[in-house]
Amino acid sequence: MMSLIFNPELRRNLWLEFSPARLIAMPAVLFMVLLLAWTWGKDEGMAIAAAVSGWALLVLWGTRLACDAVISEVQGRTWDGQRLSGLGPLRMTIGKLAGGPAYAWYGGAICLLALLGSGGIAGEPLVPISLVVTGLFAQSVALWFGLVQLRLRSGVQRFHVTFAQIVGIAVSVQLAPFDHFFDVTVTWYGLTFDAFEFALMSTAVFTVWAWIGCWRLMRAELQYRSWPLFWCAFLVFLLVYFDGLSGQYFGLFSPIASLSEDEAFLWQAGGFMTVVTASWFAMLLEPKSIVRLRRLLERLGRRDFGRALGDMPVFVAGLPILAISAVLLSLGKPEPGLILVQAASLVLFLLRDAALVYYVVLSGSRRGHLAALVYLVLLYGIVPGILTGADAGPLLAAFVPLAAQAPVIGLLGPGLQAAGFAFLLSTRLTRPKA
Amino acid sequence: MIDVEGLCFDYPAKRALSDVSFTIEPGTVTALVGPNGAGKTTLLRCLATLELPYAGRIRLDGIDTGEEPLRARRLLGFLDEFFGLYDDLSVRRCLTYWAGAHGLSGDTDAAVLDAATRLGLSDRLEERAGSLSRGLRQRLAIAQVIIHRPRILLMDEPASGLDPEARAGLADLIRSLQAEGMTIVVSSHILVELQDYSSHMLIVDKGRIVDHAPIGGARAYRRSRRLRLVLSRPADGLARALGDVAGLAVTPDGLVAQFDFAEDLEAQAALLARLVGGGLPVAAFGEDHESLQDRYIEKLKASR
Repeated sequence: MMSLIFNPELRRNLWLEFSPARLIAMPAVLFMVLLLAWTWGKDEGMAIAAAVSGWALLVLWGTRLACDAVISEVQGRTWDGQRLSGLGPLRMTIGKLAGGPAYAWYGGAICLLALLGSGGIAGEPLVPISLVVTGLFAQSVALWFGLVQLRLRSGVQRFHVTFAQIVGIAVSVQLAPFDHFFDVTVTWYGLTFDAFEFALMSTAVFTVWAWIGCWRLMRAELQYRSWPLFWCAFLVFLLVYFDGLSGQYFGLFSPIASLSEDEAFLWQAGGFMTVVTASWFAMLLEPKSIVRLRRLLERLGRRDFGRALGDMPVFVAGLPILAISAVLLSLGKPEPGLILVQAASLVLFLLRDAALVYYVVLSGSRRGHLAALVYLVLLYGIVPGILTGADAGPLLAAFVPLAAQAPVIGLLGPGLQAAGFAFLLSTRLTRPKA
Repeated sequence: MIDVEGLCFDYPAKRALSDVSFTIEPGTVTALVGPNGAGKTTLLRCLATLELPYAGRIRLDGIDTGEEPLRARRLLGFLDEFFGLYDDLSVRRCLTYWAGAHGLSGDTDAAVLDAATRLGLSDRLEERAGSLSRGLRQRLAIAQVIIHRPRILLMDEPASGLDPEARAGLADLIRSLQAEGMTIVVSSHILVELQDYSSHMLIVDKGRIVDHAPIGGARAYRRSRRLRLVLSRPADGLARALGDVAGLAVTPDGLVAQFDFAEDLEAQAALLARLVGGGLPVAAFGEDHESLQDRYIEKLKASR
């Protein structure tokens, strides 16, 4: 276990990050900042300054360092050597996650000590824990997104680090601080939590998933064959987690009776909607390789299902879970058929988007993902706008997921579009000649 | 040591390797040659487990790289043409890191010192990697990939950017690693240098293997040299005068003869004296530095 944590990658990062000068600089700077805060607001002032400094170090800067732990290797041409080393994906992930932002944690630890030493912020006993959990979560997401970008394109640049940093910071912003204005509690499967505590617990749980995400991407980057089991487990987790919150939505917004069928579906199907959304983003963020698709089809043709699973896009592997969750959602509802139609329509839209994105990205264009997103904006935004303006409202269900209003069009529309884009995609599947 | 079977590698619009199969014996030095874009680097990266082939199988000492990449990597050292170093670390720390990363456990100081000594870096252990010259950086990069004493060493254009002295040093190093039993594959365009230390040549063109054979029979194992004799006019007694030499090849016009010669320069001088004394019209006599290149071009032309 100790060799797993204190591995060569972590040690190398510590060598790089902790020069004698930097060891002295961090406490010196923080001492000045905290002393200034103490002169203004005594213990309370120092506690607030420590919390803010800790957040700046762990979240603002730590995200950059975490992502850079991989991106700087690629830019320094040492990444292939690391991929070839005997470290393996788990030790590499631990080495990057713990080692990359180690210096930020050095400063963060000083801030935590100052925060605790000054008696903390009045009425906010969970701030130190929140600081640690938020820092871990933001850094993990930044590393994860850095790996996503690395796998999406062969070359990475400095702005990819900034992009990952922004994503890490954005997802770690919790709504919990606004509790004080609304005094919100959260009901999860009938259990009532203080919103801040619930957000903190949720962040901790999602941090573990972010670690798993980093590890799985590291496995792929190190050419380990992986089956999409953890992705399926993540979808099940999302389903369970967000279904528990569905009741909360009713309490916050309007009674179900006043909602349209489509709106009621959205609020009741919190878990289902989340897994569809997660599948959509997985489709978008997964590397798209025509070679991998060809190999997948060839392996399926040979009934080599074990290897085929390793090549299968994860959003495809998660489709059975979407289907099962749709059936479970419909059970016990007054109109199960309508719910299934709505769910099927959503899945067809997912497949249409996937076929479109794959077709455009596999054209070889350098900005394929951006071009695909523009086409999706046209299909989801401009076309429905034209239809509405032209009084062709019933056709809307063919372009936006509103199947409850027109079930036949809601299924045929995305279904035909998905088939059309799938046909176009199939034209790219022919192997080049030797 | 290296078994490749039916290897195919596709880029989206191009097949880089097409049904490539070959076997490399242990303890050999294989020169991997071919025109630009032939598939050499892709093949090396597949062997190094850095790229996943479309189809086919690679076994390193019996280990399937697709099934057990970690075990296969323990056998491997790979030097990329565009390698990177940790410029802010000292030479000692660079080597210590790679010793640990390649799975050496416990006290790695001995391995570090050994690798540094073999590459002539033992007096620079405390210098920053970023402060080293190009040649010394190359040496450090090689020390990093051999520190765990891999059984297979793959090198992509290792002499690129090196001065003549450093290139000679590299050739000596490759020979000494081979003498220790390491199996080495070197991709390079500098055929004259490859000839100095290679025992086999693997020619790749358009993603296919054009030729894979020992260079000059078993010459490389015996450390022999290939000599080239040029006559001013054809002479009947050439073969008789040369006696029982290995690998004798005479051009159809009878003007040029090439053969392997395992003995020292004194013996070479004696042979020249015997040839001239025997009445042969010798116009030139010396080491044949073009034979690898001749064979490469000949094989490449024949395959097209």
